[in-house]
Amino acid sequence: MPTAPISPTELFAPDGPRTPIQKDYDVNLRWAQETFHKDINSDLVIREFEIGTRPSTRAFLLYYDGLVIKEVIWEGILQPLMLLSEIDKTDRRRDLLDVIGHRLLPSDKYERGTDYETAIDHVLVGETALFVDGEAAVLLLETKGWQHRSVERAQSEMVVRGPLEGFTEALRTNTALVRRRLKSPDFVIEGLKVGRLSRSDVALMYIKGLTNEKLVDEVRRRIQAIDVDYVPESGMLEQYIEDFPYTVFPQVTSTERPDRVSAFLSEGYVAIMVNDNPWTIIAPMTFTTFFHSPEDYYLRWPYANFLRALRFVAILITLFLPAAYIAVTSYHQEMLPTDLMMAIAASRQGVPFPVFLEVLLMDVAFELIREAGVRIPNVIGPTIGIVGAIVLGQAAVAANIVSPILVIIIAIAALASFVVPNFSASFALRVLRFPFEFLAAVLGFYGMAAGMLFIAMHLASLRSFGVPYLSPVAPLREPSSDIVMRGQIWTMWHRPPFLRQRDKIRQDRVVRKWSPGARVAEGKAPGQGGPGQGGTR
Amino acid sequence: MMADGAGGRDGEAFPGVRPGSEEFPAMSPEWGHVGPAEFVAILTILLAGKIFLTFPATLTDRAKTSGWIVTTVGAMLAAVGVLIIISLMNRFPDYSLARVSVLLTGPIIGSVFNILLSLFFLVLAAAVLREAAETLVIGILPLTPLSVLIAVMLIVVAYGTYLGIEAVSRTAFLLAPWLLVPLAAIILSDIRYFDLARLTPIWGTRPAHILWLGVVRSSIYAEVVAVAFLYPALRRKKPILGGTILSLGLAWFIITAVIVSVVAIGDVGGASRTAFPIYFMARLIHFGRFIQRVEAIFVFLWFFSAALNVTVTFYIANVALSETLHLPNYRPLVPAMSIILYTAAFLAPSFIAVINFEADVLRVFGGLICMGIPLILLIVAVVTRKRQPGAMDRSDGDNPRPSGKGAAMDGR
Repeated sequence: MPTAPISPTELFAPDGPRTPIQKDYDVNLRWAQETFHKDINSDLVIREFEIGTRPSTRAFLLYYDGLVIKEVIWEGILQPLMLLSEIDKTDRRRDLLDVIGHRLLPSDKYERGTDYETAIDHVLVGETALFVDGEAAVLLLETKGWQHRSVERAQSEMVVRGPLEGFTEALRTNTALVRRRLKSPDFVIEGLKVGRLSRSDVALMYIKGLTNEKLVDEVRRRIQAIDVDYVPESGMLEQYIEDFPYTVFPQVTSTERPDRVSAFLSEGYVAIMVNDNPWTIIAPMTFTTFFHSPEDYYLRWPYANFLRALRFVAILITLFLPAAYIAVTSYHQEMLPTDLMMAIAASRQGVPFPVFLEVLLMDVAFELIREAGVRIPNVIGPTIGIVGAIVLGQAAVAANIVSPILVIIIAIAALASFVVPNFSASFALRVLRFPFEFLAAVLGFYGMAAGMLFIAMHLASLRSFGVPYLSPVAPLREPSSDIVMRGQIWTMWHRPPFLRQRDKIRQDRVVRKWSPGARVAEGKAPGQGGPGQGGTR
Repeated sequence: MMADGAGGRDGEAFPGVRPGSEEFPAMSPEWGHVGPAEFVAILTILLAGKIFLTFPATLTDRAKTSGWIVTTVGAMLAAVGVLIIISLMNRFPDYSLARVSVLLTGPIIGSVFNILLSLFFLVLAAAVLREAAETLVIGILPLTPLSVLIAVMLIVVAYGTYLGIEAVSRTAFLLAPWLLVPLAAIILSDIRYFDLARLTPIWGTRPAHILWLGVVRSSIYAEVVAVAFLYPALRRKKPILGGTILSLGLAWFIITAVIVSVVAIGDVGGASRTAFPIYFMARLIHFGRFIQRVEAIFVFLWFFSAALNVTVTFYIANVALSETLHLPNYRPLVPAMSIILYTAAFLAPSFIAVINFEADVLRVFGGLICMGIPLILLIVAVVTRKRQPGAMDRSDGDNPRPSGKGAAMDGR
C-alpha cells in the first residue's frame, strides 16, 4: 500500500512538487484525512457516498463547511450523483469523470485536477473536490459562497456628487463593481496568489491594449516575486511592491471607490485588489493625486477648480502654517503689521512656554484627539468632540497654557489636513509638519526654506513603478490639462502622458458635436477630429 | 519613440552609458535624464542666481552706470563660448567634458584640465555658499552663527548632489516660477522709485574701458560650461544648442534687468555700497499698512537660488574629480568633498575678502578656464579627428537606450 503522498507534519508548500492522484479510493481518503487533519479539524467535511452507477461506485466529497453553499452540494452534487445517475459502468467507452461532469452535475463551472496540490488549492478557497473510486483525477466543483458585508457607502472617501458605493471584503463583488463601469472585453482581471499561508487572491486589473504592457509586467513581476507567508491586506501588499520604502510619501494610490478605480483604469493605470479587504491600490502614483478627488470630475469646471485651488492652499497650510507661525513670532516679527504683532504679543502674555513647545503641545493634543476618534467605540464617539473642543481648546487657553491665536492656527492646519482627499497623502503631510516646525523653531524661514528644498529634491528623485513622482510637471511632458487645475472636460482629450499608454487619446477633439462652435471648427478643418478619427495626434 | 521610450533604463547599472569600445571604455557617472525644459531651468538659475548675492553691487562698483553694457558684451562672448562647447560635445554625446578632456589630451594634461575645472567649481561653490550665508546673517538672522547657516545649506546641497543632476534639474524647473515671480514682483513693486536719469552717463567710465570690462567679465557667464557636464544627461541632443542660448538669453535678461533697476533705484553710489542690492529692493516694498517689511519672505528666494546654484557647481566639481580619479561614479566622493567645501567656505578671512576674490579672481580668470579648456579640446578634436563612434548618427536625434527590466517605464 503506497504511503500518504504528503507527510502531515510538514506545512503545505503551494509551490512544491506535484503528486499525482492515485486510483485507489482508500489511499485518496486517507490522504484527505491526514492532509486536512480531519481528526482535529472541525469545519472540514469529508462526505462519503455511492454514485448510483451499475454497479455503484464509491466516492467522497471534500469541502470546508462555511465556505460553500450547502444547497448547491445537496441539490447540485449529491442528488444527481446518488439518485439520478443511471450510468452503465461497464461501458468503458467514456471516462467516468467526464460523464459525471458533462451529464450529471449542473454546476456552472468545474475543473479536473490530476494532482493533490491542485485539489488542496481549490478546496481552500471554497470549492468542493469530488474523488471517485478508480479514477486518478479529481473534479473540482464551484460551490463557493460565504457571508460577507454587502455593498455600502464608501467610508473614508465621501463625495456629495457622484456614486456613493464603496468596495466590500469580497473580491468578486469588488471586481464586479468595477466591471459594471467598464463594459469592455479588453478590461482584464488577472488572478494571482500571494502568501504561502494566506494564499490571498490578488486581482491585477488593467485594460489590455490601452495600458502599457511593461507597466503591467512590472507590477505582475513584483507581486509574483513576493515570498511571504501572510498578505491579508492591500496595505501590506503596497509595502512589498513600492519603490522607496523609506520615504514618507505614498507611492500607490489607495481607494475604496469603484468609480475611482475604473476612472484610473481608463487612463491607463493598473489596479490591484486583494481578497478580503475593501481597499484597492492603483499604480503608479504621482504627486498630483494629492489634489485629486473623484468628485472633481463630476462637478462643473468652475466648482471643481475652486475645490482644487482650495486643496492646494490646504496642503500649503497644513504643512507650513504652524511652522510659519513659529518662524514669524520667533524670528521675523518685523513682517507683521504692528497691530497684529501687538495682538499676538498680548495673547502670549502669561504663556510660560516658548512658541515651539506651545505648537508641539497643541499638535500632539490634536493628533491624540484624531487617533482617539478613530479607535473609540461609536457609542461614546461624540464625547471626543466635546473633550477636544472644550477641554483642550478653551481650558488650555483659560489656563494660560496656550495662546488663543495658536489654537486658531492649529485648528486651521488640522482642518486643512482633512481636506487632502487621499488618506496616505494626508498622513505624509501630517508627519512632515513636525520637522518643519522644528526647522522653523531653530532657524526661522531659513530652516523652512532648507526643508522645502530638501523635500522638493526628494520628491524629484522619487519614482513610482518607473514613473517620476512629479510627473507631468517635472519632468515636463506635453502640457497637461489636469495637474492642479483641470481643464474643461471636453479639452481633456489626452490620457496622462507619463503612463505611455498604447492609446493616448481619450476622446475626439470635438466632443460637443451638437454645438454650433464645434461644428464650425469641424467643418473648417476637415480631418482634425472628425468622428472616429481620434483627433490629431 | 513610443516603443523606445517605454523601455526602462533604470535597471542598468550605469544607465547613461552604452557599452563602450576600447577607445571609449564605458565608465561614467550615473547621469540620469534631463529634459529640455529642466535643462533650461537649471542652466538659467545657475547663470542668473548670482543677482541675489553681491554681484550687482560689485559690477556696479566696477562699471558704474554701464553695468548693463558689460553684461550684454559678456553675454555675446559667452554665446561664442557656447558654440565652442556644443560643437565639442556634439562629437562626444555620451561623455562629460571631464571624460572628453582625458580622451583627447591624455591622462596627464586631461587630468590637469579636470582638476582645474573641479577646483574652479569647488571654489565657486564655496564662495556662493559663504556669500549666501553672509547675506542672511546681515539681513535677517544676525545672531545665528555663520557655521550653522552654511552647514544647513550644505546638507541640502550634499543631498541634492548625491541624488544627481536629474533630481536637481527637476527641482529647478519646479521652483523656477517661484523664483521668477517674486523677483519680478520685487522689481515691479519698486518701480515707483525708478529714475532713468541715474543710468547716465550711458558709457559709464568710458567706452573702451567698458567694452574691455565686458570682455574680461564675460566670466559672469562662465558657469555656462556646465552644459558640457549636463550634455550626456540629455537624451535628445538636438535642443541643447537652442536651450543653452535660450538660458543664456534669459540669464542675460534677468541680470541686466536687475543691474538696470538697482542703479535706477539706488544710484551708482547706493547700489555699489549696498552688499545685496536685491535684498534692499525687497525692503523698499511698501503697500499700505499691511504689506511692508516683507523681505523675510524672500529668504526662500535666496535659499532656493543659492542652494541650487551651489548644488550644480558642486556636482560638477565632483564629476570632474571622479573622472580624474577614474571612479565609475562620483557619489562616493560627495561626503568627503562636502567637508572640503565646508572648510573652503571658511577659508576667506572676511566677507569683503570673499567678495573681492569672487569679483577680481573667479569672475576674471574663470572665463579662461571655462571657455579656454573647451576651446583647446575642440582644436585637438578637430586636428586629431577624434570623435565618439557613431556620434554623428545620434547628435541630431533621439538617443535610444537598451531597455532594462528594473522598472516598468521610463519617465522621460
